[in-house]
Amino acid sequence: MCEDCFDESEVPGERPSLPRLMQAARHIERDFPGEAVPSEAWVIYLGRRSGTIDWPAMQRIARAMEAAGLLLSLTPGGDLRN
Amino acid sequence: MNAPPRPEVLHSANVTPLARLDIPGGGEVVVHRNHAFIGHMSPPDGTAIYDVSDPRRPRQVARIAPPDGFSHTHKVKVAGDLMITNVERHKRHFFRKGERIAAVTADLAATLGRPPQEAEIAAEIGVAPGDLDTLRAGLARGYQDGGFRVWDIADPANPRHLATVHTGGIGVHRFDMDERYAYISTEMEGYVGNILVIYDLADPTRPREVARWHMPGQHVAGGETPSWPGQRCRLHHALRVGDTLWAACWYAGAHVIDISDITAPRTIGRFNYHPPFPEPTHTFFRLAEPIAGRDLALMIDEEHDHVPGQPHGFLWVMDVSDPTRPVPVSTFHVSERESPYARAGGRFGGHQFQERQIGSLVFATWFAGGVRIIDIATPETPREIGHYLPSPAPGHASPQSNDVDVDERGVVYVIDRDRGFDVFSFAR
Repeated sequence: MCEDCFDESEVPGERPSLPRLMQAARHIERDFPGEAVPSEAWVIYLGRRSGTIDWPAMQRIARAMEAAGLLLSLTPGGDLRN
Repeated sequence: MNAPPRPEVLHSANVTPLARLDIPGGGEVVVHRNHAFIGHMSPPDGTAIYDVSDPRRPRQVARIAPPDGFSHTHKVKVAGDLMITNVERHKRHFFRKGERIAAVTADLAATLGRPPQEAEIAAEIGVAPGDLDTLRAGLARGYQDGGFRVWDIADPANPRHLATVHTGGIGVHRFDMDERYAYISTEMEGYVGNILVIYDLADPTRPREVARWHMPGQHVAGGETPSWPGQRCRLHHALRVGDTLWAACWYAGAHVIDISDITAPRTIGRFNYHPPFPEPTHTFFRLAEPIAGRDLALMIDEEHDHVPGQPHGFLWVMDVSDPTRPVPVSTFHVSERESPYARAGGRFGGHQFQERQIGSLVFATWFAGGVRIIDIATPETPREIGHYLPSPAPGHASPQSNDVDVDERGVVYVIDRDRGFDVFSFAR
């Protein structure tokens, strides 16, 4: 953590391993009502390509990631990290 | 043995490197009347002023030391003949840990049934055992020096001190100013985290407080209780455009503050996206001129400790045609694959953009991603049209591009957080 900028209360929380998180998040996102997020938006979100993500897609991805993190935290083995 | 060759600057074809100065790391660079004003990160380096009339040969013309060895003066703004530099406790977040030593020691003693060892206390606080003495010394010394200093820079080579203003707590972080007012982000007695304090500079030798603004929960002396731990929700800084301040409030998101009555700032709009988005709001800036017929603002988050599965800090394009209800239009992301330094060490993601409008162009720093030049002519689909990656400073694994400004000639100035000052030109 950069102590020039961030306080102790700002340490990121534990996250499940990325492959498990992604698998769960994409599954959850597909089940949301409305238009599914294009695959390219996921690729950009994960930093594998530069580009633009529109707000509806960002909201869907973020909500799906949050739900997946919660789901895996309640699942045995969901606390594995990269 | 020969030293390993330094990596070259990496840049797109439409960028021309002009100069690189090996100078201490900086927190802010502002260009005004052919001079670059730089706030350095750490004492004993304070503020440096460079003549950039010839951008290929920047020439230092003045240096100002911090007021003491416990403060840094890493932010600077200039308006007309006035310059303001901040004074903030150096390593402020580190020294806050010292406030926990007594409680942690007592808790450990109760748990262990014996006095805890230094290593146990240090582990609990999250510092190295050797840091405890430094923390105790800092706690005993306290800090009363925070605030800002006002200078006359009519002759940039000879800045003349006009006033020192003490504020409170750890002092002043980033801020905005014009020739009449200063919009200061600072801690103040009785508040948790930075708030906004507006000072009248009509007599710059005697800045006069005219107003305060804070978020509900910050004013603990007034009976408010924060709903967040620590200083998570605080003003980073607010930028004035017209009669409105566009305030980036860290984990409280973006706030729009009406100052048509300068003595009575009032919140008229907000947009908070924490959670689910992980990185704090660093800068929120209204573009004075519409783009594609739309009233827009830019917003950028500061990269944190990156966690896989979370996006790196990124740029937001916001529709602010209704300032009471800022709405995102699009988000722009830079891939780790765009920088060979993305995983070399240090932070990678976004941090800051130039705090002035250059048509539809945004010059934004990504720490290890350098300066990305982004065109938002079509706000729904921002497009990168150029980039500049400084070479890492000697002894550092990656560049940490921290702040950027652009002058009237289109010359771009970028300061590295660790070390180095780069100048380049850009052609569309």
